[in-house]
Order: sequence, then structure tokens, then C-alpha cells
Amino acid sequence: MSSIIRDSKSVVCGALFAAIGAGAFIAALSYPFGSAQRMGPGFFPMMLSGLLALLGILNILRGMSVKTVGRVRFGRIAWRPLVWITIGVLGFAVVLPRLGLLVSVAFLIGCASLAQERFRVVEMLCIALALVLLSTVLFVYGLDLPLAELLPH
Amino acid sequence: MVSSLSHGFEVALTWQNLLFCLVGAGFGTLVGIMPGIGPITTIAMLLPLTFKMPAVGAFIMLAGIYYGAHHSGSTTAIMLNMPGEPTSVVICFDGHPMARNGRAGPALCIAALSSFFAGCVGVLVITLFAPMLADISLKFGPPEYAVMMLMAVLATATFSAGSLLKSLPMAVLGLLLGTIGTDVNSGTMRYTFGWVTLADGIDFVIIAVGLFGLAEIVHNLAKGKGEVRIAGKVTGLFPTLPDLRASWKPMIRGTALGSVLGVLPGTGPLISSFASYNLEKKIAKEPARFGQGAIEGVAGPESANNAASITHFIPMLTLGIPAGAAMALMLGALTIQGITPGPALVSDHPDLFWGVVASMWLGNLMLLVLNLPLIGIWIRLLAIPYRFLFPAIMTFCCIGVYSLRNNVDDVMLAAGFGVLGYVFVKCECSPAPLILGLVLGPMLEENLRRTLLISGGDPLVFVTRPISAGLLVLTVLLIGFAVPSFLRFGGSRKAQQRRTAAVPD
Repeated sequence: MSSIIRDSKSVVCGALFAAIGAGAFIAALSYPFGSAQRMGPGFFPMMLSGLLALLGILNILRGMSVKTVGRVRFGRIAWRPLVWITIGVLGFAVVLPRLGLLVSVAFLIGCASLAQERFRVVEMLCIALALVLLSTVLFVYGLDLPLAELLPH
Repeated sequence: MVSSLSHGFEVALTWQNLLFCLVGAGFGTLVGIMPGIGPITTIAMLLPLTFKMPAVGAFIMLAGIYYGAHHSGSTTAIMLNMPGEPTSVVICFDGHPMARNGRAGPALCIAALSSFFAGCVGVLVITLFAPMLADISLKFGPPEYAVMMLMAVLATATFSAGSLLKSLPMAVLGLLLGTIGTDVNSGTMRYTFGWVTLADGIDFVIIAVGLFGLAEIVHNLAKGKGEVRIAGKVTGLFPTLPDLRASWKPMIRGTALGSVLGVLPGTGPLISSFASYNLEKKIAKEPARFGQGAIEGVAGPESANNAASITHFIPMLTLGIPAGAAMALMLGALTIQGITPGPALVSDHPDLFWGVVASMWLGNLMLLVLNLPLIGIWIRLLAIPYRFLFPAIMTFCCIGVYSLRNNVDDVMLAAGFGVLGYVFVKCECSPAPLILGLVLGPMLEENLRRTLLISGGDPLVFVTRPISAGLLVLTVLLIGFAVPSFLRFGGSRKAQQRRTAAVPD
């Protein structure tokens, strides 16, 4: 299998584009297409998703093409930062309505520190404190976020 | 015109707007110097804040961030061989050798002077040509707008880092993402799958924050920290007379090149600086000097870079067509403020237009003052480790996205786009065309719909109308010309990867 795939990056993004394009095309089939003169809601999405799927397939083909010189590897995926940054942001969204701004920012910084290779606890606590204060000033007084949002309900 | 410009200065010289200008230019300088955060991420991050600010001030500040970052990216390029901004890559080639030879001062000074000169000319270009362009574009109908928008999206895809085969689907994906939500004409819900949050579509800020902000953070953390070695101290700041004599012609050439290339959708400062470098090298009497510390290699590209960053605003302000991802974000910002950029902007909102133009000149003046004497401070700021920066960026991004609609689902969407953005970074797919497609998609569809309605379903209408046909020819020429020459401008594979990793315009 690995000898067929010469350019992993092209194959991966090609597969992604093809999948999204195909999915979007199928979904768009249920929207009225309309005519050439009167474009319906399905017209544009169908054209775009079809084009996207086609370009995705072209990328896959290029990734497997014999003409590609050398091997392009996908490279190491940085799981640690990816996972923790994502958990941090998702967690922020979950925590904010339930426990308020202070706790959610603290949670975010906690995840941010876990995303790094090494971190110093005292440093992160200081950053967390500074950011909590800064975001309070900026967003509560600057943007008029309701004050009740700050603290846990 | 003189009265309009003086009115603009009246607007720009209020304490409030001067402050916004200073904050924007200062922030832009900071962001341009620090690797790991670029002007697009900053603009995306600060967008939610600007909704509460007066429109003129908000725009002055955002504009300041943009051209400020392009102004200062050369500082790290010269001192550390590390471009603070992708557009400053070229400055590394001859600026850093100059620093290594103990000539950092003259290099930095010439860079700052070139930038200022180019900025002044750029503002002049806007003043003279923007109203003219606005008048011409009043003749634009739906077909012309559709072609122009298509040109903007295609040109951005062509000139983005990475291959065209990857940039085109990014643009198409952006257009497709723009269709999510309720279709205005028919009321049909497209791609919402029953989720109420998507009924109004996905706000472009969410996608920008995810693709540019969060993905970039993950990528930077993955790369790890590099060695920051400063090349010598900055002693004599002033360039010698031979320096000045060698620089003034490249300055003019670079400014001319940048002014023209910056207006065309999709190009912008990056291509301008590369083009200027190649030009100077080609017409130099001793091309072998380039790469060893030729001052023409600093003066030309720096002028081109800055001139382009100013004229880059023209299509967006006069036609409502963003010439790049950063402009697309600012277009979005103006739209949310209730101002529709387009031919009517100059006449309907003269305060905004002329105020911004005047503040651009003031901003360039401020930057001349900021960049030179304060260089020591800026360099020391580089020492701030990334681990202090990125939690702050994350926090502002999350709260900013939440504040759009007080809806946490938006924040979750941003996280999803962050993951997607990381995949794109790994695959070397540039996100800039996607943002352009996203912002222009709905308008493109609407103009296409109107065109087909008027023409009775006849697609040949694009070719039979003269302006539209001319624009189509220009698009084909632009892309046809660019594809082979981009291979030359692309530089080494390493430079290309650096540009894909950093945020391209």
C-alpha cells in the first residue's frame, strides 16, 4: 500500500475533499435544483460539491501518480497539543454556562499547560490569574457581558 | 479631492481616532515582529471587540494592525534571519548578511525609510484612484460583480502557498461553507441537519479563529521552540551616503511594483516583495552581490511590500471585493457594523473612507517613529516565550467567539475548525482561499442568480457584456501568467513550507 501512495499529503487532503464533496452533493440532491434561468437553492451547492469531489479525486490521483518524484510523508501528528487545545476549547464551551467565566478560563489555561511538553505550575497559575483578570476587565466592562456569567450559578 | 482629503484628516486627527491608529499600528508592529502570531489571527481575534467600537475607529485600528505588521516583519528578518511575517522572507536574503557584517543599523534604517516612502505613495495612489474606480464600478451590474468575485477567489487560490490543485478545492470548500444556513431566496435550510445554531450560517469569525488561530497554535506547539540568536548589536543607525544613493532607485521601483500588484485581487505584499527582489537582482550591475548583503535587496522589496499592503485596500473599499483573506475579514467587520463596502462607500460614508485614508498616512508616520528608536525594545519583546502568548490567544479567541451571539455552540464549532485547520496545515493546504470563498460565497451566488435571471438562463452573457468579458480575460491572463512564474517566486521548498506554516495572505 505504501508503495502506491507517493504523496501522502495529497492523498489525505484529496480524500477529505472527495468525502466532503460527495456528502454535500448527496445532501444537496434534496434541495430544489431550479432551472438555468431560475437558480434554486440546490443549484450552487450541487455544482460546488461536485467540483469539490472532482478536485479531491484529482488530488488522490496525483498523490498516487508515478510522476511524483520522491516520497512525501505525512509527518508526525502532534497529538498532544491537538488533543489538549481541542479539549480546552470544547471544555470552555461546556463549562461557561454552568460554572461561569472564571472557572472556564481557568480550565482553558489548565488544558493549555497540558498541551505543552513541559510546564511550570507556578508560571501557569500566574498566567491563569492574569488572564482571568484581563478577560474580566476586557469583556465584562468592555463588552458588557452580564456580570452573573462570571461566577458559578 | 483636496477638500475630501482634508476632511479626512479632520476625522483622523481626533484624539479618539489617533489613539485607535496608534494602538493598531503598535499592535501590528508587535504582531509583525513576533513569530507565531500573524496579522490575520490578530484581526480575527479582535473582530468581536470591534463591534462595540465606532465603525471609523474600529477600521482605523484594524487597518493599522495590517500595514503595521507588514512594516515591521523586516526587523526580525534582518536581525534574526527569521521573517516575522511571510512577506518579509525576502528581506532575510540580504538583510541578515548585512547584520552579520555589522551593518544592521543601516539595513533597519533603509527598511524603515523605504516603508515610509512606499506608504506615502500608496496613500496617494488610493486618494487619486479610488474615487475613479468607484465611478467606473457604478457601471457594474450583476455579471460584472460575479466575475470580479470569481476573479478574487481564483486569484487568491493561485497566489496562495501550496499548489493550485490544493488551493482550488479550499476555495470551493469555502464557497460551499458559505451556503450553510437559510437560503434567503427560497427559505430552504441548507446543510443545517436540524441544528438551530446553523440556521443563520456559520459566522466567518468562527471559521477564521479555528483555521488561523487555533490550528496555528497547535502547529506552533508541535514545531517546538527554535534558537533565537540575535546578530550583533545595533550601533550606528544611519546609512552612509553610498547606501542612500544605491537605495533610492530600488525604492521607487519597488513602490511602483507594489502599488500595482497590491491592487490585483489575490496578489498582495508577498508576491510584490518577491517580484521586487527578482527585479533588482536582474537589473543590478553586479548580481553576485545579492545574497551577501546588497542594500538594494532590502530597499526594493521593503517598499514593494508596504506599497502593496496599502493599495491592497483599494478593491475592498471601492468595489467591496476583498483582495485577500485579511481584507475579507475586514469586509465582514464593516458589514456587521452596517456599512456595505462598494462603489457607494466613497459617497455614502466619506467620513469612513477619507478618515481611513488619512489615518493610513498618519499610521505610516507613527510607524517610522516606532520602528527605529524603539528597536531595542521590540527585540527584547521577542524574548517572551510562546508559552506565555498562546494561552492568552486561546482565551481571547474563545471569549471573542462566544461574544458573537452569546452562544457556546459557536465556540464548539471553532474547536472543530481548529482540528480541521490542523489537518489542512499538515497537508499544506492554504486556508486563505477558503476564507475568501466563505465571505464572498453568498454574494457570488446572489449575483450569479441575478445574472441568470436577467439573461434568461444564458451563460454567454458573461462574454457578450464588454466589462465582464474584459474581466474574464484579465482573470485568465492573471492565472495563466502566475502559474509558471509562481514556481520561480516560490523559492526553495523550505521557504514554501515556512510560508505555508506561517499565515499567508
